[in-house]
Amino acid sequence: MTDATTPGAKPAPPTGDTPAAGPTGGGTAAPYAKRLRPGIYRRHHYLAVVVFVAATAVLAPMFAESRSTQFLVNLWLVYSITGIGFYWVFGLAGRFAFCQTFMMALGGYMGAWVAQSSLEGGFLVQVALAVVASAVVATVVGLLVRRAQAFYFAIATIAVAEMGRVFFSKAEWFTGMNGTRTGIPPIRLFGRDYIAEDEVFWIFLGGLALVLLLAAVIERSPLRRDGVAARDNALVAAVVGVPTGRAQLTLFVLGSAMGGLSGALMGPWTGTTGDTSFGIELAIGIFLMLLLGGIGSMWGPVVGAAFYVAVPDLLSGFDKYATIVYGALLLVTIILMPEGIVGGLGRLRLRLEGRWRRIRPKGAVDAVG
Amino acid sequence: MEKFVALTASGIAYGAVLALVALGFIVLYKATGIINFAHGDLVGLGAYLAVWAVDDLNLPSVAGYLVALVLMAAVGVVMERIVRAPLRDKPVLVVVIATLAMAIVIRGLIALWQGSNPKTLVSPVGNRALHVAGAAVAQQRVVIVVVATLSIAGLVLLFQRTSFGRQVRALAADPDTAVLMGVRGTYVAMAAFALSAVFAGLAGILVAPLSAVDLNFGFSLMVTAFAVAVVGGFGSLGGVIVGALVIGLVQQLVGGYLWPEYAGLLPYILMFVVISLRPEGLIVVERSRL
Amino acid sequence: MLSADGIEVRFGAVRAVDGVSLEVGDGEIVGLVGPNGSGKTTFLNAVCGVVPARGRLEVAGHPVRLGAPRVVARAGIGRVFQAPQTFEALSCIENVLLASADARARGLLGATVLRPVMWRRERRRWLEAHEALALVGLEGATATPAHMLTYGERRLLDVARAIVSAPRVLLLDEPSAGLNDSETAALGDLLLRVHEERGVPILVIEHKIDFLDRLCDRVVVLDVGRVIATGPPDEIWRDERVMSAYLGATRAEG
Repeated sequence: MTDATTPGAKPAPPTGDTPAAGPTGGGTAAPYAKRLRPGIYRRHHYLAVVVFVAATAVLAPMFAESRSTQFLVNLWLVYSITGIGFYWVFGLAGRFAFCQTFMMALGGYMGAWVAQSSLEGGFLVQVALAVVASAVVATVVGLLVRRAQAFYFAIATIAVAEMGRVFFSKAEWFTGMNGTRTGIPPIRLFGRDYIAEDEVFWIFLGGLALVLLLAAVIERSPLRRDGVAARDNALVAAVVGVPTGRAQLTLFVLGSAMGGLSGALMGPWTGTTGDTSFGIELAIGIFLMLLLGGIGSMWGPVVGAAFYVAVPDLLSGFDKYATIVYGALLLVTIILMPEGIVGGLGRLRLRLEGRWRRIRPKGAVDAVG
Repeated sequence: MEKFVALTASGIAYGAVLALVALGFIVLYKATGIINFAHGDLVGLGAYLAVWAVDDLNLPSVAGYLVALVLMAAVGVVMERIVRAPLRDKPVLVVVIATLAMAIVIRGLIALWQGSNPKTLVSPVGNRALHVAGAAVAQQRVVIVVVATLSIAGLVLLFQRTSFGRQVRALAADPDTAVLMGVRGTYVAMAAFALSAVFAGLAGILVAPLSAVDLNFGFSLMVTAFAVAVVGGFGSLGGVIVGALVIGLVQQLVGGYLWPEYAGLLPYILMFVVISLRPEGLIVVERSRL
Repeated sequence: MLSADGIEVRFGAVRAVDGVSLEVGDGEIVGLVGPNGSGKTTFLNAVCGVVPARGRLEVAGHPVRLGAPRVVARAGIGRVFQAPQTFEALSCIENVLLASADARARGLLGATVLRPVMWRRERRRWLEAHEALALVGLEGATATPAHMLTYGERRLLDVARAIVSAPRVLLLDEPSAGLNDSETAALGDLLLRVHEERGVPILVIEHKIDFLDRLCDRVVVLDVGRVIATGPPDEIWRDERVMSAYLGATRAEG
């Protein structure tokens, strides 16, 4: 029942069975405590991350031969990053946020501006400032609408996206002529340029690995259950003592920062950035990735992003019908598969183990005395 | 002085359009609890249908508009069948996401049908302008205000005098009891979707002659209308109308004089102020269940 | 321990709670009764900040703000709602952990930078949660997903969750609703045990007279949003006002 620690990536994460000085009762406390830990700590999050990263590192170069396939793989990695961010915001904290693409655009502009202005910041500086910018904006927005309930929050985030659009179109000192910045220098890290698709792959995979690690850390912490409680019944959660506002704000800021990160990655990769690259189709796409892949798991967006990136490739002549197909797919997913692929697989496993019992629909009014 | 008159006229006309759009989705919200994120694309669809009726069917303007509105009603009913009927026992959030999906499906269909080049809609009053106190006010703006006022008055009457209105108000107050008392949720929902779509289309048709008709046409109008609904209070029709006029005038006057570049941000700033000061949710359903 | 003074709750023109004052002393178990619609649940909701209310509230001598759900747990109020409020996506122990008395290191810092601190506190929290579950008899269901519990078990889970927060006063709303006779008796035993082992005063809304007789030191009777009588259980049922409130003819709503 040990969880593998990830070598080197971060200081050795504590496992549940570290025999620290027991809280009570001396020597018997530690193994007793281990038996008591919530089921989620028995899942092998870190191991899964390691396996995934290793598998991708080995398989992708083997199977992605052409430039266009490599491009899609990189796109999948970047979209997974923003997807995981959206999972924190919407899947975990239950906040219906419509500003993820705005955050991506903000990150993209910020990175490009840092690179092209007199700052001439390097890649890491670009990325760091992009993350900070989106985190700051998300914090301000989140604080303003902190106690707003579901639809007020949704409308506020749509408004943020609209405000962003207006601002981006006017602030050409920041967003470049006509809101597009071109000629962004490629990724340069430790004296090396990463230009070709298969070179950029390693940068993106490294970035996704770090994000996945953070996701695993969050899954194995009280923040996760606080978010779920705030999502499922914020009022009762608050009465019971859950810091709902703080948990949801934290997850919203983190998720938005991931949007900023992915936007900042895309700039030096493609050489251009502009908020037209992050339009409403991508916004729907992010929803789709999360819902298709499975809204209840940190791996959902990774699976969903793979589908989102692969589908246009599989259907030729797709372009004209793209939005309709995505919209229809979203509808079908919601109606037939609300738990997405990962959720469906999880349910299958439980059914096979004979432990499944139908979840009562949320809001069912039980027999009242 | 002319600037003031011109801006005020713009503000009132803009407010009238916002009121139409806002009332459209609020009627739907009151009747079904659904927030329709496809509403903006319905605005655009109305304009496109009018363009088609006038250009391709060669109908005279007003007839073309009426055809478009009838078609919008049909679209509304179809939407109800797609996003509401199959999802009735799921949480409202799921339906809302479904409306998002519908939004881009509608957009995609329009793009397929009409292409993505902007179109123009001709109005019966053309480009003629009135001259008021030295300022040129497009007659279309007057048309907007008149038509909007009549439609809104009709809506208010509908709500207060007819059985449909009573049923909607009953559903808005307490859906379960309303159904138990014989309100037929599905028929009311279909009617509400149709009415909502018609109002959206009407707004699109009224505004279209003043600007170009393209795919993004209705979206920012919808978002501003959301801001109106928040500022005016989601519950009351009167509040929404007042909110629409306030926001329309603020954006045109304050924006026109002080901050022309970013005038479009003003409604949202106002909305954030309201949200942060008055964060109570829309309907406090869960409390009564505890 | 709990002192409510002049609590008023209005829904539009209806005065659901019309100036209710009541106290729960340190070692007491107080019953709150009244015909349907008398405002019992609304009163409890007012004390827990779930509905907007006017009046004064003090717990352990400290004033508590009304209408703010967030302050309730910190004020030491433990609440069990009428319908079980289970978080179905979490396991039983996670449900209980939500209400842990030690609320530190549960945010982002605890998850990342302060992880060792978080683990220390978590282990202690797990122990306390397990004890609370054991107290209500659910120790076997620790890791069970909460959606798999029966109605009665969910009710017990709610009680465990209220206990683990080390409350200064426990408020229960018809805890025996939906339970059969043996389950009700077991629940009565449980509440007495909690009261004695943890020393927690209890305010309980109930309809079942035997249950109240067994548990309560004192009963407060509400009708139409007002307190009409208070006294020991065996006497209160013979009070004329109480009898006419329960058996009386139709009354106009206040």
